[in-house]
Amino acid sequence: MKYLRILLLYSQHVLQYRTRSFIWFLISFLNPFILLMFWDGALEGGKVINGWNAASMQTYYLLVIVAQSVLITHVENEVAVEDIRQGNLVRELLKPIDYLWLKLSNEISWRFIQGFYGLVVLSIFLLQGLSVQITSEVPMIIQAIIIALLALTMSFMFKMILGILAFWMTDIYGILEPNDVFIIMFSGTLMPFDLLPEWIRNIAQFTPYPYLVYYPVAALMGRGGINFFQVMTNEIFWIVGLFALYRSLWFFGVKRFSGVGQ
Amino acid sequence: MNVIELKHLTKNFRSYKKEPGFLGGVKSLVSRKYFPVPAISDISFSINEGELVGFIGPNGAGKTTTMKCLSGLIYPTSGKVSVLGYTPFQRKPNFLKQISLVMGQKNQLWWDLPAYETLLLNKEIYDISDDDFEKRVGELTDLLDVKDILHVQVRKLSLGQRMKCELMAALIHHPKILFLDEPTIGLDVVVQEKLREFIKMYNKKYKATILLTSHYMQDVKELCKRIIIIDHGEILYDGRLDSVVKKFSNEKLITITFEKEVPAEALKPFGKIESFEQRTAKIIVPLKKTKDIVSRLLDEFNVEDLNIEEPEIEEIIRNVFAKKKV
Repeated sequence: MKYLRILLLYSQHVLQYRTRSFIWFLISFLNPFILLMFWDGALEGGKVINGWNAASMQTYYLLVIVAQSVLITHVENEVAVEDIRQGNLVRELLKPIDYLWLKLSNEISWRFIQGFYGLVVLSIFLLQGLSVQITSEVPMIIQAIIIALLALTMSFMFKMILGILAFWMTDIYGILEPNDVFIIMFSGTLMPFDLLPEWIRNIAQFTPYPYLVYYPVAALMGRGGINFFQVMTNEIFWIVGLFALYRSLWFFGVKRFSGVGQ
Repeated sequence: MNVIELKHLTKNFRSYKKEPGFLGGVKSLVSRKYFPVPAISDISFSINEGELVGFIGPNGAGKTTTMKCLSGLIYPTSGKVSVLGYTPFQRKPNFLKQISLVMGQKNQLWWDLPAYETLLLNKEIYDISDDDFEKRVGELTDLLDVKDILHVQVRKLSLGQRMKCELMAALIHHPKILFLDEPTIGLDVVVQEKLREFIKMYNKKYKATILLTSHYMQDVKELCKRIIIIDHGEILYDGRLDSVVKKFSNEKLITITFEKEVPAEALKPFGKIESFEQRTAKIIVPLKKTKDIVSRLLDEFNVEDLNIEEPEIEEIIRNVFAKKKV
């Protein structure tokens, strides 16, 4: 209950910034929307590429809009720049509650509001006559939700690690910017992961990126070739590994914190 | 009973020296020579339960670094720190629930929400029961006179109002140890006085142990019986405030503005000229001769304005250091 009440208080705080949040949403919305239009034209006339036709591609990008709003966290900048570099971490360290939980509460609040915008946009498209072909089988929907929740956890832990690297680095953007590029390339926001060249897929599957957007969306669409247990096991493996890495980095990193700026 | 104990505490920060110019920038990409920057060097002191101690020194003396070590924010390079029997840097929840650090220049309040929302957050974080919360909010609201502003967005409050709300947020869990780092900085004299009264009351009522840093001599004089003076990371004095003030109040600072420009040479016989800009001079004079010197100044020059005060706290600290009187 305590954590729920903290989450609700953070949500109230985040709601103060709904306009800024909406603009951020629009920025992340534009990319899949343009790609949706591109594929709509490219697959016109019943063309099919690797099992993707115009309708399934439409569904894919509409779900990507929602998935990237809900599942891709953006905590790294706040952790690295505001907390560590500018010293706001001081006030969090003084609280008798784990920093990770405070950040998670804040981040979940942001995901709620961003996800809400995503669902609104999805509804508008549905009203405009665009089709969304998701699986109708309840077990598969449940599986997709589990994969998505694990993806959110993965994304959060991964971004927290990127953020706390600022304990060692003066300029964290050398890490954050390439990471954004990798997310675009490998997470499935640019195109379905299975349309990437095989050698890229072979490399990317050993990174956390495809789990962030592609697998949750493909699972919800009921795409063939998604082995639920395999994906779930991999996600759990990643979460455990990332959590252990986070704790180790935090243990050493926080000793380097000087509280400069405060 | 000692609630705060520091033994041979040292904290060094690490920095690197960049050679000047573009070439230096390129060189620093390949190899950087790091060196330790000492912030605190081998300091030791202890504070008893319920004491209100002034911790003073010029900028960069090591006051805030010491407070950060005591509150567990930064890791000491060497030495032993104990606060309420805990090692601060381990940041155990039971330790953090018993301390609070207030920094005059930074806040913990949510900027775009009323201060009351931050109090609610702290209620959850510090596991304060509903009854206790209501009681404490009521009590602190009355003492700090913030009833009308608690539900106003923080960004719409004045600096003084914000500081009062900051104190409320820092005290809602009734900390046994309070670290106050420049709590009155930038506030007008009326609010400064109110905060001083509140700090005094909180110290007495809850037997709270308070370590206070301030550049305002008035804060220290009104609140602290004991002071610790620190400079360049070393403790120069630890003892009763009245002994230091008595020792150094044998000087006064006269600020005088003349109607017409006066040569600096003409003022030298009156005392040590601290500064002289345009028509205003600051002269340090011996306490016993103040009256005589003021009357001579008024006789010999056309004076527009004259003010007599004690030398600033930093001046006293400089004297302590320069004259090695303690």
